[in-house]
Amino acid sequence: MKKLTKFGIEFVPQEACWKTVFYSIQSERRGFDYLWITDHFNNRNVYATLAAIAIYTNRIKMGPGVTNPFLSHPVVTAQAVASINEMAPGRTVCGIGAGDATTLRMLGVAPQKVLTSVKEATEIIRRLTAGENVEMKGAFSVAGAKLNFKVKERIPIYVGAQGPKMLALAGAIGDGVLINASSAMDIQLALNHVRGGASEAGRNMDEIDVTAYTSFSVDDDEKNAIEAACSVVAFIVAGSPQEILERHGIPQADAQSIRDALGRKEWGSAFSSVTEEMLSAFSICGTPDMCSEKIITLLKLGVTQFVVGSPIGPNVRKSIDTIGERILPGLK
Amino acid sequence: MTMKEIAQSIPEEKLEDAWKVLVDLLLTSSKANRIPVEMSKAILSYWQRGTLNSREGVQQLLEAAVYAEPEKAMSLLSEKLMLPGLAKMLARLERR
Repeated sequence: MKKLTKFGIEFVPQEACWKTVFYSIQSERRGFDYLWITDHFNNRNVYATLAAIAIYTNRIKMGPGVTNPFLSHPVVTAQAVASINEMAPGRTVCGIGAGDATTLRMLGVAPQKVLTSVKEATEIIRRLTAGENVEMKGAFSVAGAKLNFKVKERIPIYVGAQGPKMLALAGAIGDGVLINASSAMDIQLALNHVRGGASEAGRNMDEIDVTAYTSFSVDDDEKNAIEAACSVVAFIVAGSPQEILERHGIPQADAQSIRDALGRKEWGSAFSSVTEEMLSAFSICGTPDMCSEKIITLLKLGVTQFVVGSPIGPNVRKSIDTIGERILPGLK
Repeated sequence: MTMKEIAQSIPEEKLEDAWKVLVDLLLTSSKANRIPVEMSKAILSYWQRGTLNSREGVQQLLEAAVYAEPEKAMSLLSEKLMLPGLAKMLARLERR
């Protein structure tokens, strides 16, 4: 069965909650299918934000994009998404992954057994939200846990992944995979791992919503779109392992100078050091036509959901309108 | 003069521009958390119903803008919307 292309949008709840709700209402109106809200302890709480969004929307699907099992025990995550589902029945999804190393480090959390933890957490969330009584002794110890309320709809679980093993795990157990990449090269490589994992688990790729979770910036003025993308791309470059930088022909020294500038909080210097190669490797940015072309390339590779991630554009409200008016109609 | 009267004085043909510049002011403001929660809920309610560009919607945005960015709100009224008279009224209202 051919899967229809879906479009998602990511919001980082770092500003007043009503702004995220405002953009969410707009995204639903403009034809997006999914809302993904990031989960970092230092921003607004993901589930409080999702609860507010659930009240103000009617159609769009939503979930954490992504939570991690190291800061929130999977039974708490199960409880949270089940509660959101009560407010947004049949519209709730759950993204889970390894978590953001930088913010986890701030809390002294050093993730151990990452793959096992994500795998077990997925199982716990899935079984609890299916109404099961869960007993498990592994990375998590759960002795007879059960939710005291019924979850009427199944909550799909998406595994957020970047490395080969996590991608394969996503292929093996995920209802979807959130591939943290923007370039065709990275998506293609990631898909090979997802397919491998799915095949080993005896699954068909049609069962998996292959999601490209991109860094995106659109504006009628290409220069403005690029300028907005530079801030996000600088952080991606700084956090990328050498192997990924080499794959894109980005000299280690260039990445290091961005890391150093960010470390000194010299934002202007860091952002202005972002090169065309970096933008092309780690973002989709430009005019609506340029972005559409790049999206089509990813869809042809087998992507079934395209997520517009931060920064979205120099003016988020206008960029959501632009995507809804000039990009989605040609691709949905 | 009240905020309602200021909103009533905005010419019909400027309402579309007014809601856009005011909402962009609020969405890009780092002081948006100064807006009382009931006011932000009212804005969301108008937005959800698709009536933020109505006179009542613009009034809500103006009130919120005075909380978050009073000087910028006056400057927008005066320079972007070319309504200097209303900007002065808003300034008098804000001082009260």
